[in-house]
Amino acid sequence: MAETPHVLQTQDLKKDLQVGEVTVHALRGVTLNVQRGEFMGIIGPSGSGKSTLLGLIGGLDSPTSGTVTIDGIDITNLNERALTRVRNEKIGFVFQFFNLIPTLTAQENVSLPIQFAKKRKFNPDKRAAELLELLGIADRLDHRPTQLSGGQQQRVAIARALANGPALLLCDEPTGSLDSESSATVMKALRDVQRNTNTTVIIVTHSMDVASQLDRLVTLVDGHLVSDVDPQSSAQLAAVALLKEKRATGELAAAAVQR
Amino acid sequence: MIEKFSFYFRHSFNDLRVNGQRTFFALLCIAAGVAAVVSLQTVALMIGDTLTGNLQATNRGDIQASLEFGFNDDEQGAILEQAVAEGLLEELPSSGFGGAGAQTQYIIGAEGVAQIQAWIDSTYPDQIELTYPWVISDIAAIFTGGIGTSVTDSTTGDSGSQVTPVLIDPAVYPFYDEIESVDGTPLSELIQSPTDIVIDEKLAETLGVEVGATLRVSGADVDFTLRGIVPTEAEVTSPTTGIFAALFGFYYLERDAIQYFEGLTGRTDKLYLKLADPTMTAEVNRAFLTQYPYLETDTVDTLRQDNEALANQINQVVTVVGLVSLLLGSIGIINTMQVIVRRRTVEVAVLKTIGLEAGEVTMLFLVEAFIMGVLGSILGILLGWATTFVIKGVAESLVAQALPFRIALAPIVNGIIVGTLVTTIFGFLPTLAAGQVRPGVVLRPSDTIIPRAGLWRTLGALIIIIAALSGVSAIILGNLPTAILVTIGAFIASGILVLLLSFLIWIIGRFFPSLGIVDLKISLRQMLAGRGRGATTLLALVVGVFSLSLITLFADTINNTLSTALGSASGGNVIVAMTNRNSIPQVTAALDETEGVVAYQVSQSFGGTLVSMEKPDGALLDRDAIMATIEENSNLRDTIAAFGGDPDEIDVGEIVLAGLSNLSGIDLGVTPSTAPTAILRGRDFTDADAGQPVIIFTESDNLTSAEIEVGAKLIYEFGEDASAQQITLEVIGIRQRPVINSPTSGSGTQIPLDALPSVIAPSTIQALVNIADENIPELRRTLSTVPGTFVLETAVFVQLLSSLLATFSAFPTMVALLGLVVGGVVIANSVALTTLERRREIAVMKAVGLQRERVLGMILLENGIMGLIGGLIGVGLGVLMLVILLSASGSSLSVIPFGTALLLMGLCIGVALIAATTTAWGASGEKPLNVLRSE
Repeated sequence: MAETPHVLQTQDLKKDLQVGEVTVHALRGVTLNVQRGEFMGIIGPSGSGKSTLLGLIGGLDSPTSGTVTIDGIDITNLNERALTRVRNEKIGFVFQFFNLIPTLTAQENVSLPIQFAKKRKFNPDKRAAELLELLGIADRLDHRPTQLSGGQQQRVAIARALANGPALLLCDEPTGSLDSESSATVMKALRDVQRNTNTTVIIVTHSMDVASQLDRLVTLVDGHLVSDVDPQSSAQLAAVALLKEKRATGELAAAAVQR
Repeated sequence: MIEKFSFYFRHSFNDLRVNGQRTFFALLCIAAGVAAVVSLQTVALMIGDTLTGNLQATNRGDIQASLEFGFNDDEQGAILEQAVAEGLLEELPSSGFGGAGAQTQYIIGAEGVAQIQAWIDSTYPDQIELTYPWVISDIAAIFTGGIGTSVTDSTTGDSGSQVTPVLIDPAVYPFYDEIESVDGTPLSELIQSPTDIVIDEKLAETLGVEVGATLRVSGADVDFTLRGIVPTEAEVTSPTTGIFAALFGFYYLERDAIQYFEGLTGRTDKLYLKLADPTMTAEVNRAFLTQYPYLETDTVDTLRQDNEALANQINQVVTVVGLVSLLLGSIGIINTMQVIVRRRTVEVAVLKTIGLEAGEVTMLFLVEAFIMGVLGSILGILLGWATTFVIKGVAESLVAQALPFRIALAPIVNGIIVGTLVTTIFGFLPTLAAGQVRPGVVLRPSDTIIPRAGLWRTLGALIIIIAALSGVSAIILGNLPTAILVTIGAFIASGILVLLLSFLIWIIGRFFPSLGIVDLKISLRQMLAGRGRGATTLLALVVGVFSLSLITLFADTINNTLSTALGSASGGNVIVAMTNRNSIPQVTAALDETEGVVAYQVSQSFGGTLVSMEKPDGALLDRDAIMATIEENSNLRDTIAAFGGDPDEIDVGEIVLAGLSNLSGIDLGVTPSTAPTAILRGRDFTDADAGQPVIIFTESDNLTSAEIEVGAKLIYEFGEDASAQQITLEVIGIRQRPVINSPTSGSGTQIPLDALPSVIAPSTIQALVNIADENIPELRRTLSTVPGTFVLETAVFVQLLSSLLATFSAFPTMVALLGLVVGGVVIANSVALTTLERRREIAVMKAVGLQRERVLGMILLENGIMGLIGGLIGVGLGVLMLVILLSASGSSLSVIPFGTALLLMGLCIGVALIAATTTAWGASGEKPLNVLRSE
C-alpha cells in the first residue's frame, strides 16, 4: 500500500466518560491531521482531554463519535483483535512511568513486540540490540529495569515502542518522571528517532520546556482543540527557549550575582 | 509458538521468584492439599499391604475353620445335635447372662479334634497339618473375669484383668509365621514346658514384670514362669480379630497347661490347616465343609477378596478426603490469582499496547498458575511424606498392627497430576479476567481497576471448570455421571455457602457495635470491604473445624452417655450376675460381709409371653388382636426404613410384645439404689402390693402402640409346654421415661418380686452393687467360690468401649485435623494477600503514628473475629446435629460435651490467629517510606 501523507487523521472526535453519575465530555469534537515525520505535541491544562485524545488515537479506547485513521486505516470500529494488531504494527507507546516489564532485561523488553507480531519483520534480539544502540544504551542490554536509571529506562521504553517500526510514536508525558538532565537526553533521543527514521512523534505534555522543543503544538482546553501552532512562533515559548539557553551558558547566574 | 511459551514460562518464574511471601503461601495452599492426598493415599496403601500381604500368615494357615461362640442358627439345630451325639461337638453350659432363655452353645472337644485329625489323615494323608488352640475362656468370660482371664505377679500382687489366654502348640503355631519375643527369640524356644508362660508387652507393662518373674493365672493351681515378652500385635492378624488381646493383653501357654485349670478339658473353637500343596485349598475347603457343615471356614482366597475390598474402600475414602482438602486449598489459589491479576492490570495493559491479545494474556497467567501448581505439588509431596509418619502411628492403632512404610509411585503421581490440574483449573477464571483488562488502563494507572471476565465468559469458564473437575472426580469415583452430579452439587453448595457467609460477614461488619474502640471499628470495616475473599476463606475454615468437631463431639458424647448410664448415677459400679436363684442368699451374704459395699439391690427378670389383654372397658383382646393393634399404631417400620432397612422383613408385633414381656421383679421391702421415675398415670407400688399380681410399666412407644393403659389386665404365660403357667397382672401405674435408659436400671416393666409363683424361674438375676473401687478384687475373690456368679465392673465396660471408641476415632480425627490445617494455611495465604493489597494503607497508618504492634493487633483482631465466626458455625453445626440426634432418640442433652465444643472453638480461633501472625508480622514491620515510594 502506498504511504499516505497523513499518518494520523481524526474527524470530529468526541469522547464522553462516565464518572459516577456524571457524564464528562472529555473531547468535544477534535479534528486533527498529522503528517508523516512530524514532531508534534499536545498540551493543555489538567483535565483538558490530552490523555483521552492520546488513548483514542492510539487505539486504546474507542470514541463516542467521530473517526480515527492511522496510516490509512480507519480504526474507529475495529474489534479488539484488529486493534491489537494495529497497535503492534503501526503504533509505539512511551509512558510517563516507563512501564517496562520488571522481570525482563532491556533487550527482552524491547524484543517483546516483535515476538508477538503476527508477521515478524525483524529478528527480535538483533533488532533490539540495534535500537538500544541507536538510543545509546547498548551497554545495558542485559540489565533489568531496576538496574537502570530513569533516563535509561525511558530510552529502553522508546526502543520497545520502535521495535516493529511503527509509523506513529505516541508519548504520554515521557519526561514527567525524569530530572532535567535525563529529560534532555530523552528529548534528544526522540528527536533523533524522528529525524533518523521519519517516525511521526506525538508527545502529550504539560511542560513548557518540552513544548518549546517541538515543531508543532496543538492545545486542548476543555476537550476543544483551541490552537495549532508552530512553537517557534509563540512568544511565550520563545521566551522559555531563551531562558533555557541562558541557563545553560551560565548567563543567568552571572546576571543574578551582578544585581 | 515455542518462543511465546518460553516467554510465558520465564516471565512466570521470575514473577513468582520476586514475589516471595505471596508466592510461598500460595504454594503452601496447594502443598497442604497435595500433602493430604499423598499422605492419606500412602497410608491407605500401607494398610492395603498389611491386609493383603502374607495372607497365609494372617489366616494362620491355608484354611481356618471356626465354630463361633454365640447364637447358632435354629436351622442347624439338628446337625449340631447330631455332631454332639457323634462326639464331635460338646454342649457348653450357658454362661454370663443366659439363664432359662439362653441359646445352647457348642464347642469342639478333644474327641472332636481327634476325629477331625483322623479324617484329615485318612482323606489327605501327609498333606495337611492341623493345629488349634485350647480355649479356657470365651469373650463373655474375658469380659466378666472368668477362668484364666487375670494374671497376677506373685511377688508384688499387681494384676491385669480381661486378659486373653492363648493355649497353643508352640512348636508349630502359627503356620506361615513366626512369633518372636521382643529380643528375637522364637516362641517355640521360649515355651518348653507347661509351666512356661509368655506374655505380651501390654500385659508386661501392666504387671511391671521382666523375664523370669513368677506369675499366677486365675483358675490355675500352679504358678508359671515368665519366659518371654512378645509384641502386642503378635495376636492381631487383622483389624477385626484380636482386638481384646490388643486392648488388654494376652499370654501364651502350652496346650498341656490345661491340666492345671481344674474342671477344664481341651476344647477349641478354631482349627488351622496348613496344606503341603496350597493350590489344593479350594478342593480341601469344599471337602471339609461337606464333612463338617456346622463349621465355617476362611481360606486365603476369601481373605484376599475381603481384604482387597476393604483396602479399596479405605483407599477410596481417604482419596476423597484428601481431595476435599485439596479443593479447600484451591480457595487460596483463586484468591492468589485474583490478587496477582489485580496488581498487574497496568502490566497487562502495557502488554496489550505492544500487541498481546486477550487470549495470550490469559495464557500468560494460566502458565503462572500451572507453574504454581507444579511447584506446590512437589512441595506437597515432600510434606506428604513427612505427614505420613504422623498419620502412620494413628493408623497403626486403628488396625492394631505395624504398618511398613513405603514410598509408592501412585500417590506421588496422583498428587502431582491432581494438584497441578486443580490449581490450573481454579486459576482459570481469574486469568480469564486478566485477558479482559482494557489497554486504556495504561493511561490511568492510579485508577483502581478490578478486572472482570464478563458474564458469558464466566459462565463458560465455570462450565469448563466443572467439566474438568468432573473428569478428575470420575477417575476417583469410577463413575462419570455420579462425578458430574457430585461436582455440580458441590459447586452449588459451595456457592450458596459462600453467599451466606458473605452475607453474614456483611451483617457483622455493618451492624456489630465497635463500642467506641477504634481498632475494632477499623477491623470491622476492613472485614466488610474484603468480605468476598473473607467468605471463601471462612468456608475453608468452617469445613475443617466442622469435620473435626463432628468426630470429636460424637466420640465424647458416646463416652459421656456410657459413663452416665453405667456409672455411679446408675447406683452401682459392679454388676454381679447369677445363673441360679439359689445363689442369691450366698451372694447377698457375701455382699453383706465384704468391706466397702455401700449398697446393693438384687433384681430378677422374668421372660414371659403376653397372650391376651382385658382392657379397662372390658374388651378382651387375644394375642393376634393385640398385634394387629400394634401394627396399626407403631411407626417402627418407618424408623427401620429411615435407617435403610427393609421394613417388610420385621414382625412389628413380635418385636413390640417382646419388649413388653421382660418383667423386672423388685423387692418392695428394699429401698432401690436408683430412685424410680415419677408416676404419670395410676399409682406407684405400696407395701401392700408385695406378692400381688400387679404391674407398673414405663412410658414407651411400645406401650402406646399396644394401647396398654392403667386398669388393663394382662395375661402372661411363663414356661413352655406342659409346665407353662398363665398369670394375670393388673396394670396399676405408668412411669415417666427415664433420662437415660441404663442397662443397670433393669427392665422398664416392674412387678413385685413375689408376684409370680416360685416355680417360675427368672431369666436373669443380677445384683447392682455400689462398692469402693479398692474392695472390688476382694469381692471378686469372695464371689469366685459361689458357683454360677460373674462379676462385671461397669468401669471396665466403659473403659473397653472408650478404648475402642478412641481407637476407631483416632484416624478420622487425624484426617479431620488435616482439613483444619488446610483451613489455617488458606487463612495465612489470605492474610498475606490482604496485607499486600493494604501495604499503602498500613504505611499511611504508621506514617501518622500507629505503632507496629497496634497495626498487627488490628489485623489479628480482624482474623480473630473470622476465626470466632468459623468456630461458631463449624462447632455449632456439630452441636446442632448432636441435639437433633439426641432429641430424636429421647436422650438427655446433658451428655453433649460442651467443654469439648468450647475447646474446639478455641482451637479454631487459635489457628486463625497463628496463621495471621505468621504473615502479618513481616508486613506490619515494613518502613512506611519504602512502601509509599513503591506503591
